[in-house]
Amino acid sequence: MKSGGRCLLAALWLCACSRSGNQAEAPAPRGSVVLASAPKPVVKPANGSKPTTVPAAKPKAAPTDETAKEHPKLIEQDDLKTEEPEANPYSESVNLKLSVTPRVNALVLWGAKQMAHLEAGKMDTEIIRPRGSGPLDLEIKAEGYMPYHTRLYADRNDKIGIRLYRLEEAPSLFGYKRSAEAKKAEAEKQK
Amino acid sequence: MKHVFLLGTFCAFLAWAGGVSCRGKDAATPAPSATVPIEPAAKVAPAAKATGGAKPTPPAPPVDGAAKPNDEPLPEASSRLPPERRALQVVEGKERVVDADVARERGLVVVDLSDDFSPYIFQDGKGPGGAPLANRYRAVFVGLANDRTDGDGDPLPPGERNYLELYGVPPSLSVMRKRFLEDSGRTCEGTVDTAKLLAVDGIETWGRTTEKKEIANHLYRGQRLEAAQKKLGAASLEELAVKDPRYAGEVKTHMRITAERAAFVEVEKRLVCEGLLDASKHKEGSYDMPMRNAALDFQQKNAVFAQADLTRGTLEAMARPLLENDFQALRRVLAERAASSGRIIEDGSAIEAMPKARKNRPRKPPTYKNSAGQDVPVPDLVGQATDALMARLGLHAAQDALAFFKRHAEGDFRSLRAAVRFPPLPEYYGPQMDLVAEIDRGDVWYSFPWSEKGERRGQYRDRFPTFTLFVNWRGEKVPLVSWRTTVGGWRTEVAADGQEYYRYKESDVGHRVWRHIVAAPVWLPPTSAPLGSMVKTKWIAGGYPKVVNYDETGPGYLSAYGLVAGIHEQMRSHGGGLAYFDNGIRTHGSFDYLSLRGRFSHGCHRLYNNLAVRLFSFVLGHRRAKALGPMALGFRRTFYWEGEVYDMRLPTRGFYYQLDPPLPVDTLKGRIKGQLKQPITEYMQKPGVNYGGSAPPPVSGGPDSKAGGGQ
Repeated sequence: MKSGGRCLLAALWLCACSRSGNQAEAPAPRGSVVLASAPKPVVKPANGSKPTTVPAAKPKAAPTDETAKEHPKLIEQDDLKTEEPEANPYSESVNLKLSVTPRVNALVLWGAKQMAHLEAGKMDTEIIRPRGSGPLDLEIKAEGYMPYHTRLYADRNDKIGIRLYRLEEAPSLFGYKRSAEAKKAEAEKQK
Repeated sequence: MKHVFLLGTFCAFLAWAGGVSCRGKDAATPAPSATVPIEPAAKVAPAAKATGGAKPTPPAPPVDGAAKPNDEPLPEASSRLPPERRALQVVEGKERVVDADVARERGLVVVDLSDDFSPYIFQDGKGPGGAPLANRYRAVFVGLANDRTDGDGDPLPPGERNYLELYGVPPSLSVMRKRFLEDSGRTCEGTVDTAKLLAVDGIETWGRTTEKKEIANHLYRGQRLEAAQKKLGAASLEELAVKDPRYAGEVKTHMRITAERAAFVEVEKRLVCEGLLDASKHKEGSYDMPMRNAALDFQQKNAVFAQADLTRGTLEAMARPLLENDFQALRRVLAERAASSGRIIEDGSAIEAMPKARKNRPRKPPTYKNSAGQDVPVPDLVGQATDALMARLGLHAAQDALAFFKRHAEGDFRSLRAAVRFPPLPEYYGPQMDLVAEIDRGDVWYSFPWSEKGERRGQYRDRFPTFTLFVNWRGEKVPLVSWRTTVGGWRTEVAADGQEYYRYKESDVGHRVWRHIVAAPVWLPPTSAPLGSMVKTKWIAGGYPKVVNYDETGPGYLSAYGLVAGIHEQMRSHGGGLAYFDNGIRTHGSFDYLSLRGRFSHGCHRLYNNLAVRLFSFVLGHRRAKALGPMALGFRRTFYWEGEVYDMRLPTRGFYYQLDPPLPVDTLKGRIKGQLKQPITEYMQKPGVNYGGSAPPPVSGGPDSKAGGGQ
C-alpha cells in the first residue's frame, strides 16, 4: 500500500514543483501504483502549424426549470435487486470457481504463485480460500493468447467464466483504440 | 475576506477533529445539567415500530432529565460473563469490570473500545425472517484500522502502517497503544530545535530537476550579497538592504530561504527520530522520495491537511512532543467511538448555520426550545461525550494515556468496552427524529471561467457550500451540524469524439429525498473514464503483477463515493403515480479531503469520510430504516490495455439501507454571481486547444458521471 503512495509521490516529484503548496490537487491515495495516467487527447496541428486558440462558442443557457437540467434516470424496481442470500454468510471458507475457454493449456497465477494448470478437458478450477482473506487477482496465461486479468472475491462464494483472446482479436475489445492512441501519444512525446 | 474562508475551514477542521468548536467551550457548551431543565423521558417521540428486516439498534442514552445525577459504581461483574457483556467502569480512579447490560439499564453508555469496532453503518443487518445480511466491508474496515490489511482486504506487508484517519478510518486502540509505547521510547525533543521549525511559515521545496538548481542559486545569491555587504561596509544583510534598497528584495529572499533550509534540517531530524524516515535511504538536504513519503506519513498520522508540502501546520505538529501528537490522535479516535456509541452528532459546528452577525459581534449560537419554552443552546455533544469518556478513563494528558496503555495489554483491546455516563441528550432526541438535510450551494458562478483569449476570469466566492442537518422541533428548524461540502462546477470531460472539453456539472437545486443510504458504495466508471488509470501494479503473493485498479470504483475509502453515500432521489409523477428518479447526485464521503477546501465536484456533495460515516450512522439510528443488504450489480467490463486483457468485476453496489419515510434533502440555489443566471449545458472547448474546427458533440453521461472518480 505504502509503495503505491510512494510511486505517486515519485511522479509528483518528477513533475518539478515550484513553491510548496501548489503541487498536488488531490491527496495521494495510499493504494498501489497506477500504471498510466489518464490519456490526454492529443490534437495534432495540421501541417506543423501552431495550435490555435478556438474562440469559446456562444453558450446555450439551460432550461428555466431547475429540476430538469438533465434527464434523471427512473429508478425501477429491478435496479434494486438484493443479492441472493448465501446459505452461510459466516462460513470459514469460500469456494471460488474459474472456468476458462477455449480449451488450451493455461496457467492461473496469483502473484508469483501458480494456482492451477489448465488443459483440454480440465478447464475449470476450484479454489478454496478463507472467507474475507482478500480478493484473488488472477492472471491467466496461455500461449498464443493475451494475458487475462480477472478477480475472484473471497468474501463470498464466487464463480466466473472467462474467454481468452488472441492478439488479432484485440481490435474488437473495448479500449483497444484508446490504448493505441495513448501509446502513440507517448511515443510522440518522447520524440 | 480571506480570513472568513480560513476561519470556516478551521472550524470545519475542529469539528472534524472531535467536536471542538470555534467559539470556545463556554459559548459552545454550557453545562447541560445547569441549563437544561428536567423533563420526563416519556415526552420523547414514541419508539418506531420495527418493520420486517429492521436493523436492531442498541438502546439510546438517556434524554434530558432521564439521566441519573451521579455516575454511581455498578456491581462488579461475574468472571463468567462473556467478553461482549463486560465493560470497564472507572470509579474514583479504580478500574472495575461491570455488566454492560446493567450499565445500559442504569443509563450509562457502553462505549466500544474494542479493536473489532466498526461504525454502526458497517455492521451486519438482518433480512426478512431474521436472515443475516453480511456487511462485507466491515472486515476490511476493521483490518485497515488495525494495520492488518490493505484497502482490498489483502494482508499488509510486514512493517507497513495504514495512516488512514484522514480517509475516514481511524486507528484502533491497539494501534494507538503501539504508537504510544513506541513513541515513549523516542527522545526527539532533545534532538530537534523547535525554534528553528517555528521560525518559518513553511518550507519551499522543489521537484528533483529544480532542487539542485534552486539550492545552487541560493548559495550563489548568498555569495553575491556577502560581497556587496563587504563592499558597502554593512554589518549585516539587513543593513545592506537599508544602505542600498536595490538589494532589499534579494536580502529578503535570501533570509527566508536560509531560515527555511535551517528548518528543513530539523524536519529531517524529526522524521528520522520518529521512525518515519530511514536515514540510510535519504540524501541529506534533499527533499527526495524517502523524505516526501515520510512527511506524508507524518501528516496522515497526525491529521495534518497537507500533501507532503512542508506547511506551517506540519511544522507546528513537528514542534510538538511525539506523545502530545499521539494524545491528540487518541482524542480524535475516542471522539469517533463516543459519537458512534452515543449515536450523537452535534459537534459544535451548527453555529456555522447561523446568520452572520454584524461586525465584531459573535454569531448567535443555535438554540432549541425546551418544554418550559426556554431557548437552550444546541450542545456540542460529541465534544462533551469525548470529554466525559476521557475524564472517566483518567486520560487527562499524554502521560495518563501512556500509563493507560501500559496498564492494558494488547489483548485487552480485543473486547474492551467502557461504561460512561454521557451528557443528557437534548429533548429533541428520539428514535424517530424529524430530520431535514439542507445544502446551500453558496456563491455560484455559471459563466465560463476563461475569456476568449484564454485568460482565467476571477470568480471570487465569499460564501462556500455548506451541508446542514436540522431537526424540526417545536415549530423550529434546529441546526445540529453544519459542515463544508462541495458543489459542481466546471470540470473536464472526455466527450464522445474522444476530445477533452469543459462541462458545467451542476448540483441539482430543489427538493429531494434520501431514500437509500449505501455503506461502502460502488461507483461505476463511465465508458469515457480513462482506461490507463483502471490498471495498476500491486504486490501480491510474492509477485508484482498488473491488476485492475478498484480504488476509484470501490468499495473502499478511496472510492469516488467514499465510504458511504446518500442517494438524492427526486419524487415525480410518472405513469399515473409517483416514482423516484436519480440524477446522479449523492451526498457522500470523499478520500479527497483537500477538495473540501474550496474545489468543485462533478455535482455531488462531498464530506470528509469520517463525517459522512457519522452522519449516516446517526440518520440510521434516529429514523425508521431497513437494511436491504448487499445490492446486486453484476457489472463486468472486459477491456484491453497495452497488450493485455482486463476484467473489471463489481458484483455488488454496496450495502443498502432504506429509510421509511425518506428523509427530505433540500438543495438551495445559493447566490448566483456574474451576468449569466443559467448554467451552460453544452461542452466548452478548452482554451489553447486546437479542435480542428469541429463543433463539440452533444453532452452525455449517466448518474455515475456526477462522482467523476479521481478526475
